Amino acid sequence: MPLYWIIAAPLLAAFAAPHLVRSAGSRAAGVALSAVPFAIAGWLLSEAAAGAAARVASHDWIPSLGVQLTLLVGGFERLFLLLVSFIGGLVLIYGGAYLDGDSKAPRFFSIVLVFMAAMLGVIAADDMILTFVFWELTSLTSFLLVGYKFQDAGARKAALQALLVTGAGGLALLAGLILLTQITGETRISALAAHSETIASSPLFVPALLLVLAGVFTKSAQVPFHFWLPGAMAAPTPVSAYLHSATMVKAGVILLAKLHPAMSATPLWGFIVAPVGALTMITGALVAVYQTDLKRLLAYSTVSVLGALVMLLGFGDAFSFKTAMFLALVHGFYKGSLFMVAGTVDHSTGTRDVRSLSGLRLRMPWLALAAGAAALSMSGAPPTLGFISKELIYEAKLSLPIAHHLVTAIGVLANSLTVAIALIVGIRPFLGDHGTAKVRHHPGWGLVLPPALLAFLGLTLGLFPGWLDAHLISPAASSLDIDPNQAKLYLWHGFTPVLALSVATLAAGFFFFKIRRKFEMAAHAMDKIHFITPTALYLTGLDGLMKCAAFLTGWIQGGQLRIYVRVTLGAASLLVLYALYQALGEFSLSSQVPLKFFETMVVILMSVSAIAAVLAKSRLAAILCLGGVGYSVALVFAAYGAPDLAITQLLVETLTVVLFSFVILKLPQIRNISRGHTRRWDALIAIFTGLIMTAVVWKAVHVQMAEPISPGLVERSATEAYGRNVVNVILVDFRALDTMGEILVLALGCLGVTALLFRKRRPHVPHDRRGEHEAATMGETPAASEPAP
Amino acid sequence: MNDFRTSILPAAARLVVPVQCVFSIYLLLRGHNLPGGGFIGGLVLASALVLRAMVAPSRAPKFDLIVLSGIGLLVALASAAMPWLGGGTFFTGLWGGQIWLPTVGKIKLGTPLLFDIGVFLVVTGVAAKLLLVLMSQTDESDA
Repeated sequence: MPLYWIIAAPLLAAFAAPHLVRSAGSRAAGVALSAVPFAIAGWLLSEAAAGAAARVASHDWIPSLGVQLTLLVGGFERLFLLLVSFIGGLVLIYGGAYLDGDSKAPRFFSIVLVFMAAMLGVIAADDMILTFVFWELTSLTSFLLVGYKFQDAGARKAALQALLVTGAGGLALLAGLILLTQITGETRISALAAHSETIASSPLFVPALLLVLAGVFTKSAQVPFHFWLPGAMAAPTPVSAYLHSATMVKAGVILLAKLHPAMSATPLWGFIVAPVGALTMITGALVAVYQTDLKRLLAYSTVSVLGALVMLLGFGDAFSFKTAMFLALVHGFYKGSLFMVAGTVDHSTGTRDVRSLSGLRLRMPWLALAAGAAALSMSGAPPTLGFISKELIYEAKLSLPIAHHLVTAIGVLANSLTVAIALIVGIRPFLGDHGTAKVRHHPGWGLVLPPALLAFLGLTLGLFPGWLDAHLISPAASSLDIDPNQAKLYLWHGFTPVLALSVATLAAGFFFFKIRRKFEMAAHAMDKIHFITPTALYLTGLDGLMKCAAFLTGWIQGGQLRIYVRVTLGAASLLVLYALYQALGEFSLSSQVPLKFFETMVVILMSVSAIAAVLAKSRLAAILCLGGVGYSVALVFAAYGAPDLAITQLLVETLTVVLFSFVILKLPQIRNISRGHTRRWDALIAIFTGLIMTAVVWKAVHVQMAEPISPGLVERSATEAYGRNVVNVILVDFRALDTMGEILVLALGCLGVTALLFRKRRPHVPHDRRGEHEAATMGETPAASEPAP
Repeated sequence: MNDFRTSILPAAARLVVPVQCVFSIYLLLRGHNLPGGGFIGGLVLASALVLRAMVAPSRAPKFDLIVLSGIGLLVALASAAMPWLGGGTFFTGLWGGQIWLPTVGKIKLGTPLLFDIGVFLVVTGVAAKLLLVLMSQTDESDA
C-alpha cells in the first residue's frame, strides 16, 4: 500500500460521506466509513507484526523552498497511526449511532474524516512545513467540530477560544521549525537528530526551543494554556472522545517525542518541559475531581494525563520515553472508552451530572461492564494495561537523578486523584438504586459496542504485555534512537517499592473518592481568585483587543471621504518624511537641470490652476480648475517626449472632469461643506504633503540607484518585440504580467464600486456634523440653477 | 440629467461618437509602433459610450458593460496561456504574419496584439461602466 493512501483514503471518504449519510442513514454510513480507518489500522498491524522496516515516501512540493511531501512511517509513527486509525474507526461507528437523525450528521462525518487525514498526516509527516500544514488543519477541523452546534453561542465561543489558543501556538511552532531549519539546514524532522550538538550550541537554540514548546504546550493543553480543552467539550461527545482525548491533544506530545532526539540533550529541555508537565498533571487532577459534569471531569483528567506525558518526555531518559509511549497508548484506550460511555449515558438519560446519575447498571448492563473495565484500567488496578503503565511511571520517577522524592509524591497524589475520578465516572453512576435521572431510551449496540471493545482491549492486552512491547513499544523507541531495552513491560514486577506505591495509590484514590464533596467546598473558596485564572486573562485580553480594534477603526476609518484622504496623506507624508530624514546628509539644494521657458510656463499654469481650485467659490469652477492642473501635467509629459502618457493623462483627466461633474453637482455648495476650523487643518495637511512631495522629487533627481533599464528596453523593443513604441511594448510584452495584474485590479475595483453604489442607501447623518445636514438640504436649490456645460 | 439634453450636444454627439469609435480602434491597432494602444483606445471608446448615453439615455448599452471587462480579461489570459499551452513559458510572444491596414500601416500579428485587445476591452468596460453607474445613481437621487 503506497504510503500516501493513509492520508488520501480518509480525505476521499470525507467527500463521499455526506452522500452516504443522506442515502443510507448515519448508522449505516458510520459502519461503512469505518472500513477506511480499520483498513489502515489492519495494514499497520500487519506491518508491526512482521517487524517491517521504516517506510518513506517523498515527492517534491515546493522545490524552490525545499518543501517536500515527505512521509516517514517507522516504529514510533506506526504506534500512533494505529491508535488514531483504530479509535477513529470506532468513533465513526459510535458517531453514526450517536447522531442518528441529526440533520448535521453529514457535516460531522466529513469534518471528522478530514481531521483523521490531518491527524494521520501530523504523525506521518517528516517534512517540517508539511507537519505544520497538517498541524493547522487539525486545529481548523477541531474549530469546526467544537462549533458543531453553531446555533449555540457558548459552542461558538468555545470553538473560537480553541482556535485562537492552538492557532497562536501553531504560528509559534512554525517560527520554531523555521529556526531549526536555519540552524541545521535540514527540512526533515528525522534528520535533526544527527545535528543535536549543532542545535544545542546555536545562539538560536533558546528561541527555537521556546517557540516549538509554545506550539506543543498550547496544542497539548499544558498549564497555563489548558483552559481551552474543557471548553472544547461543547463538541458532540464522539468528537470529544476522538479529538480531545485520544488524538489531537496528543499531537503536541507526538511532536515533542519526535524532537526528543534532537533537543533533549540540553538541560534547558528538562528544566522547562518536566516542570510544566508535572504542574499540568497535578492541576488537571485537582480541578477534575470536583467537577460534576461527566465530560468536564474527563477533560480535566485528560489534561492531567497530557501533563504526565509531557513530564515523562521532559525527563529525557530512555526509560521515561518508553513509559510515555506506553501511557499514550493506554490512555487512548481507557479515555476513549470512558468518553463514549459518558456520551451514551448523556444520550440515554439526557444528563451528564454525576450527582443525579445512579443505578444505571440495571438498565444498561453492558455499558456498565464497559465503564467498569475502562475505569479499572484508568485507576491502574491489576491486571489492566493501566496497571502496567502506572508501575512504569513510578519506576521512572523513582529512578530520577534529582528530586525524585518530590516528583514521586506529586505523582502519587495525581494518580490517587485519577483513581477517584475513575470511580466517579466509571463506577459510581452505575451502582446503587435508580437515580433521579431516568433512562429515556435504551442505547443501541452502536453506542455500547465501541466503548466496550476499547475497554475490553485495555483489559485483555494487559495480559500480553510482552507482545505489545516487542511489536509496538520497543520499535517505537528504537525508531527514535532510544534504547528499547531500558524498560520491559511486565504484568508482575514482584514485591517492589513500586508495587507498594501502586497499592497506596489505590487506597488513597478510594479515600479521595469518599471525601470528594470536600473538594467542591475548596473549589468554591478558590472562586474568589477567579480573575487571575488563565481563562479570565484570555477573556480580558480578547476583550481588550476588540476594544482596541474598534477604537483604531473608528479613528482611521471615519466613514467620511475627507477623513480617509486626511489619514492617507498624513500617514504617507510622515513615512516619507522619516525616510528623507534618514538620508538627510545626501540632500543637496543645487539643481542640475537647467530651467526652460516652456516648463516654467507650465508650472505657472499648474500653480495658478491649483490655487484657483482652492479659492473657487463655485463647484463647477473648482472642477474645471482641477482639470487645468491635470492638463498641465499632460503638457509636462508631452514636453519630455512621452506622448503615450500625455494622451492617457488627457483622456483620464477629461473623464475625471465628467465624472466629477456628475457627482459634485449633487453635493452642497463648497462654502457650506466644512467649517473654517476644519479647512485650516486641511490646508495644513495639504501644504505639508506638497512640501514633502517636492522634497522627494528634488531628492529623486540626485539619486541614481542603478543603471537605468530604459536604454536596454528601447534597444530590444524593435528587434525582439517588433514594435517601435517602447511604452506599448513594455505594457503588452516585456511587462505583460504587470499589465495583467493591473487590468484585473481595474475590473475588480469597478465591481466593488458598482456594488457600493447599488447598496441600499441609508440616511446617515454623523452626529458631530449636524450643521452640514442642513447645509446639504439647502444646497439642493442652487445646484439645479448651476449653468450646465 | 436633463441639463445635458440641449439641442447642441446631441447634434455634436451624432457626429463625434462614430468618429470616436473608429478612432479608438485606430489608436488600438497603431499602438505597437506609435502613441496609442489598448489603454488609450479603451478610454476613447468609453468616452464615446458615455457621451451617447448622456444625450440619449434610452440608447445606453443594453448589456452590462462589466461583461465586456470579463471578456477582455479572458482574451488577455488566453493570449498569455497560448504559448504556455504550446509548451513555452507564460506570456512568451508568439508572432505570425504581417498585414497592412490603411492609415495604420504594417502591423505584425501576434499574442501581444491579442493581449492589447484584452486591455482595450477591460478598460472600455470599466471606465464606461463606472461613469454610467454614477450617472444613473445621480439621476435616481433627483427623482
